[in-house]
Amino acid sequence: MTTAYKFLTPDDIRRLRNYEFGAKSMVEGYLSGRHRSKQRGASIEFHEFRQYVPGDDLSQVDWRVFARNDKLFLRTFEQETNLECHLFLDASASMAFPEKSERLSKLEYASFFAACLAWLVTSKNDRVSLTLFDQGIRKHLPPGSTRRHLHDVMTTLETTTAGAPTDLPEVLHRAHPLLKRRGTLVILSDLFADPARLFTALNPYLHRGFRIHLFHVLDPAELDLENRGLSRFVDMENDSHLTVHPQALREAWKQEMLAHSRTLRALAAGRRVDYALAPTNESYFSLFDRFRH
Amino acid sequence: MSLFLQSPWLLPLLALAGLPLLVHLLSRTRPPAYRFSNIEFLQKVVRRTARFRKPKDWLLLILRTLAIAALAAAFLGPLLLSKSAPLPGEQRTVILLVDRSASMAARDGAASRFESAIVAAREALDSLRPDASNIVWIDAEPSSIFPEPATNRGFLTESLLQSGTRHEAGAVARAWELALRQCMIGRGRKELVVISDFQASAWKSVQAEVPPDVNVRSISVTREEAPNLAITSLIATPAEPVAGQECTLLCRVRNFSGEARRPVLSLDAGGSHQSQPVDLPAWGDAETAFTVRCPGAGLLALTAALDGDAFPSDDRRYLALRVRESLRLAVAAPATAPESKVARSLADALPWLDAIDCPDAANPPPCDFLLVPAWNGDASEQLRKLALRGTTILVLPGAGCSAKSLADLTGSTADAADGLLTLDARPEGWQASPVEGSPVFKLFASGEFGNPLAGVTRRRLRLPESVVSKGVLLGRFNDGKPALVSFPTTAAPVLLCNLPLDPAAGDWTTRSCFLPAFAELVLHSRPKSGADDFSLEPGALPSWSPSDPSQATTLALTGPSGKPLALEQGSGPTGPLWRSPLPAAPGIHTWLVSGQPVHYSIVNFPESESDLRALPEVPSFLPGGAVQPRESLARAAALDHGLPLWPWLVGLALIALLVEPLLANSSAPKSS
Repeated sequence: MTTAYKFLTPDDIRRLRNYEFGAKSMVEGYLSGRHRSKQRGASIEFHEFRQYVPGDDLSQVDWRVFARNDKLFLRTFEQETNLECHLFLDASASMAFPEKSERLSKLEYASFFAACLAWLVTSKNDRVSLTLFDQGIRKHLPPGSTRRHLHDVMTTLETTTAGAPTDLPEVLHRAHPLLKRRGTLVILSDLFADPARLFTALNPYLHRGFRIHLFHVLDPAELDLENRGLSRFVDMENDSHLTVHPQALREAWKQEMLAHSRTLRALAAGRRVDYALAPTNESYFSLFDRFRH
Repeated sequence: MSLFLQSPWLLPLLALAGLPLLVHLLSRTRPPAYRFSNIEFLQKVVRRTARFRKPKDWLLLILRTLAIAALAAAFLGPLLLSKSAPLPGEQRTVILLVDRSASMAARDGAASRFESAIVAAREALDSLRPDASNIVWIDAEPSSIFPEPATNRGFLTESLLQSGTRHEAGAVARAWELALRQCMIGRGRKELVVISDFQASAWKSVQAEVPPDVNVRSISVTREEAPNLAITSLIATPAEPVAGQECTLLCRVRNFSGEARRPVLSLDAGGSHQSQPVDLPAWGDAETAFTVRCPGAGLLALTAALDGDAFPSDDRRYLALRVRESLRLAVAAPATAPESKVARSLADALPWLDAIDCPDAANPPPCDFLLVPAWNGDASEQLRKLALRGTTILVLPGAGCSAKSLADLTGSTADAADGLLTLDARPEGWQASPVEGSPVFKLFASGEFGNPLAGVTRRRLRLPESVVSKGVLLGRFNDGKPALVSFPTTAAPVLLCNLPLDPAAGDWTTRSCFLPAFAELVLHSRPKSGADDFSLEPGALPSWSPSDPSQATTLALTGPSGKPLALEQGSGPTGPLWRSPLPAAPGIHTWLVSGQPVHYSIVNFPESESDLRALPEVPSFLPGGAVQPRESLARAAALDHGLPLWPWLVGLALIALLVEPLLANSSAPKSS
């Protein structure tokens, strides 16, 4: 198999065949598919008995129960439906880190992962949407599962460059009306934001029943400051600068990043949000394990 | 301590000490830029660690600088040589300049200042162990124990123990010069140790110059402020009273303390005692007057005393008065002259006045008052000298006397137009009266005793205005012309009288007011201060030359305590002179002939020594303090005896280099 996409290689596709994208909770869908839905419908999976009320479909009445106790009960089954995966990819300036390096930038790493995930979702006839953001929504591709839609996703990822400063909570607030059906929300970002504000912005999604995966994409140099002597650190998002000796701050920085990650993990655990730290020097395929049932 | 370098040409190496600072500054000026994802987090970390990191950075910089500086300094081969260490083959001369002036008797606690000075001087001799030494005393007449610095320290120590304070002010400047001369005589390293109370009144004006090769050390023995009261003067008016006359004694008392005091001042005048309290403000003075009636002619010894205080030496002051039996009025006129007759009449009427003949006005016999009637202008300079020596001159110029002579006599300047004095006569005459406010005729100011110059003057002289205007007008005629003018001098005044004593020219002498007016004129014209031949400077030797050589056989001298003092004979300008070999202490020394007092030698405590305040700071005498030994000799000494500092410097550098990485790798405290 050959692809012309930058972020989706034949090797990736070959490996992705061994993976499955599933929802750990009930999902909403309009096609009968592999995933359970809270909407009651026709399938082979029994759900419950329910007393008949006028207007119910008589074909669902369990006549055997009626024969035994002379009461009308409906036998309901779980309806299987298709899944919607909403990809939120951070394309802010800080995601271009590291610049002029042999390592993948955070944006490239996240793009690879997003491309694979999009392919995996669409390959099972599920729908995937893509939202690129920095301080606002830069581009939104509504959910789709066609080859054409996948092509659009791939093209969008390839043409995306790092832009303005990040404001993920604001983006989540604005994107909420765009997502018509609940599904799986996958956020790929370096998460340099206030954790409390971020989870406040996620609350509406959680209330609607979204399954949320929060991938904290960081370069190794961000987790552990490189020992590069006295340097003038220039902010990639706002050009502010600070002259420091990284060696003098290394320990304190590691402690700070660890504390930030720990805070995010604690808040995520409390809200049943899946949080994962994704260093760019580790394979993104390990992240697919988090989508298994 | 002196520092010598074995390799001074390597001094530029010390500039390396600035290297860490230079690197620090250069690296901070343009560090490489590094685009980073988020500075906000970094700033938060920097803020939290700055409290620990900044001092650590400075400490690191100091450690690095110290390490490099210590290493660089080690290469210079520094050697430490004690300043007090003797140079090879060098001698040490120490001169002790010890103050034993009167103020050193003051007590600071248990010991007097002088006792403290003795202890300090002995310690200096023992610790410095000089090869040659000497002691110079700060006295009124500074002296040294040896003529030149000598090796016998034991004798100096003994002399210190046997010495005591003198009741005199120290001549600091002269003592300093003498001490420096002694230093110059000495060889090798020269040191001058000044031990004094550094009394402000004695030392503040001293301009001590120190030669560059003399090292001066100051030791102050003043421990605390000593409050003090002192009688600073005792003056009699008149200085030589006449028997029966009242004499006023003015006594000035000073308070050398910050508290107002009210001591009792007493006066002993020949056995009669008077006392009265004196109110003294803080750091101020007050004057008290005593009146003493002089009962008879002779010598009268007076002693003023204060309540005792911590420094009793200056609580007494002494004075001796010669009470005259009478005053002598010399009349430079023939006995048949009307003025002579008037003068003799006066002497007959006044028991305290003797009239004597004076054939030559220029060379009168000893007298208090010289009357020169009908003066023709001769010997004006001699007459003025007489006035300057204390004889009051009363001149009645005659017609034909030149204005210039009159000006010479009175110490004024005559106009060139003023020639000879001319007579002015009028049958009805002129009336004279005293000038208001004149102290001479104060007795008559109430009008009770009438006009002292009453009478009709029918003949008078036209006195030149240029001369008269320089004097003090005592009386004037009713037309404003001067009648009596006084020309004060430093001793006795010259009185210019235009009132004729000849009854033919005026009837002033026949009036009843004449006698008291002339008596008042005589008493008030006497010199305020007489020739004081009793006073003696503190520390001087009491001496006296008897007028009658036969008195020498029974001559004796007793000191202030009444004990007889030894006498030795010498020769003075007026004949044989007897003196005491010991310096006089404050008090009254009495010269006795056949057991009767014939003369006093009065010694008072020096006023300048009463203020016991010391200089605010012990003076440091430069440039002697920074004495530089001869470079080559000192270098040789340093090489032989100097302490090499390079091991210490290398050790210091190693310690700094060991601590530096430990400090650099130490992390900031973990965040909570």
